[in-house]
Amino acid sequence: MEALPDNWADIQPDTVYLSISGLLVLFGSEQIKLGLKYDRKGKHLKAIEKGLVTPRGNVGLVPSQESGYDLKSKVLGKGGDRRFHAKFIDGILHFPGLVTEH
Amino acid sequence: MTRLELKNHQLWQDLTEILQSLDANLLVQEHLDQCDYKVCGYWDEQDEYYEKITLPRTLKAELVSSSIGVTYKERFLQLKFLLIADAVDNTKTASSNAQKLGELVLVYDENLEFIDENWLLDVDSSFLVKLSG
Repeated sequence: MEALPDNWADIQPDTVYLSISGLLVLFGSEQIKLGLKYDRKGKHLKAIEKGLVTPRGNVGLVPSQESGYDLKSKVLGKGGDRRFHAKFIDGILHFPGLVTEH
Repeated sequence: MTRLELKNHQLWQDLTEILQSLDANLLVQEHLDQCDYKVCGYWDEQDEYYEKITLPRTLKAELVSSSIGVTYKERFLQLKFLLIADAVDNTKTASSNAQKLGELVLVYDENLEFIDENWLLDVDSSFLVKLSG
């Protein structure tokens, strides 16, 4: 299994990657486009690598409030104004390309 | 014309009532306690990453703005606080040196359940203990 790249340009659509925290993740082409547009420094990828965290005072993956979604990647500070949402399908965390401001 | 109609809209009365019934201090205190005055993972304005930033326990939070947001499927409440370190100078009684540490934005749903946060900290402040990542 391939490790999760640290920048969006190296991510292939619909390819399963293994994060440092042991999570299997997959990105749709729309999500990669949004990553390239809004996350040039790969801050969300670093948050995804960190895995599940408690929702207060932490960068990482936290529960998503969007219906049909399980987790969202969370960045704090500069770049912390957007969240990328993901859902589990057959044990793999899919990021299809939903971005919100919280 | 539209502006005049909006100015007298019931909306403002309703918003004022909602915001008056909130205890913003309680919400921010709960947040600071639950994260134990620590921010684990933070990007500063220069895109520098900090593994952990510890805030002073003497921190005071002051509500600077509150807003209600509406999307096509949800309504939410956003509160912005100014974070102030209040360091008392022991050498000179009754003098204190308040310093702005940054801002904390908290987002809640209609049931006042916590949804999200963002921090904007002044990383140069000597009141913050920083661990680089």
